[in-house]
Amino acid sequence: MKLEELKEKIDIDVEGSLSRFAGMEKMYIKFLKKLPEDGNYEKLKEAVEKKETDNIEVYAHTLKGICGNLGLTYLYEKSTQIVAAVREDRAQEIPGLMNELSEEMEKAAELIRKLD
Amino acid sequence: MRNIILIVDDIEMNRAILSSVFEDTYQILEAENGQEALELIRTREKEIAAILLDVVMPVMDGFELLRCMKAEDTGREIPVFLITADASEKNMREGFEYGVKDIIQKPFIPYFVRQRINSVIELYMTQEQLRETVEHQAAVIEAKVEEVSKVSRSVIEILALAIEFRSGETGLHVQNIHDLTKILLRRLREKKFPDCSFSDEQIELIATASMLHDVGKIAVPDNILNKPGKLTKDEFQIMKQHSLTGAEMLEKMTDIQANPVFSYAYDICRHHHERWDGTGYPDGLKGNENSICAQVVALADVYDALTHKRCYKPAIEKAKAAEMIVNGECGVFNPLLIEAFLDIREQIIMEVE
Repeated sequence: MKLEELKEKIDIDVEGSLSRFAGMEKMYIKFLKKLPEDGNYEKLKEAVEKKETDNIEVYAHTLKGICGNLGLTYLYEKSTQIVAAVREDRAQEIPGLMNELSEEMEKAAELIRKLD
Repeated sequence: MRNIILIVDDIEMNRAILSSVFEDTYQILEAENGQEALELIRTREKEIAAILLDVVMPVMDGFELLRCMKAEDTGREIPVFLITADASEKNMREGFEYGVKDIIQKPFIPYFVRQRINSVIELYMTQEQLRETVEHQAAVIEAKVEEVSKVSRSVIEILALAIEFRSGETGLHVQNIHDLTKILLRRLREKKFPDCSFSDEQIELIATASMLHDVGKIAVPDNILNKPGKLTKDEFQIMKQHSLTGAEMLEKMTDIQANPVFSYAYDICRHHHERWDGTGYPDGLKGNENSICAQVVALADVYDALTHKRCYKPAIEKAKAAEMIVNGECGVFNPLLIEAFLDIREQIIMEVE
């Protein structure tokens, strides 16, 4: 699959990301492919299930950075909201946000694995 | 040769991007924070051509690294580039104040980054090469100067010896004048004698110049120079010419201004027979009208002449000779110079043959 097709299926800013990658498409794809493999998302999910607030904050913050760099706009927004929810003591919102994030993440991961 | 680019950024992706821009021309070293970078800079300072530095990092941030480098005075010859998404005025000002060479805002276009960084690296390398060339040439020149000064000292010694051999002496006198002049001048300097704040180098030059004090004797005929016994009045007049003749020779032969040893030698040749009370020759200089150098050589000359056998007189015992000088039997000397001579009389008797 090509980046062009990915653009139509998930919320991703390919142009902005390519400019961050200095136009190096191969490298962008290489780093996109690391996302489903790095284990950070799984750790976040587990922390949410166990309601470990501190860990939620750490893993959501890391995920926010990675998604920001990769131009995964929706995932970036959701992880940002989770970080904010922890910091502003709105823990009750976290499971809902996490569900939204998971849905997009699993879809994105599957598609990214199919990238050429 | 500097062929490493050090990339300092906590985000792997950012390091990878910069690395790919430079990896075809440079060896790449990566650090995840300022602390890691500092350790690399300390150990590989001479190999690093440039540092590409992120600002916000855990453990030690970019500005802290710049502060540490400044404090340790390390990596002074390595250009640093800030690579940052936050090129705010405050950040840029702070960066430039720490001496970074350029600030590159993310996202960037590889071609331009490469051009900007390469041109600074080239400039640094050229400067470094020039500096090395200059250092090398300075060392070569220093060695040459040393050589020339050795040669010129040898020539001066040979000339002085030639004069002395003509009077049937051994060369010891010239060496002794050199040593006595040096010891006396050092003592005068220690005593903070007026106009005597010479450096070691200047004292050595004056002592070398002192060896030429009698160079004018080359013009004194053999029958007078080597006459056993007292000279007649006319003969003594001819003998006395040697101080002026020596001065004239130096004036004619050398560019006195060009080398301090010759301006000292001119003064010493001309005035080493002057006396404190104005009764000396050729100019009848009184007191400190005569330079301290010529005054010192005059005393050294008298002491050494007294203590050695000459064609016209036997040798006098050292202690006795010193006493004669102090008592004014060999003409009047600067009382402060006599004081200095007395201070080191024992040293002179011990050290000077």
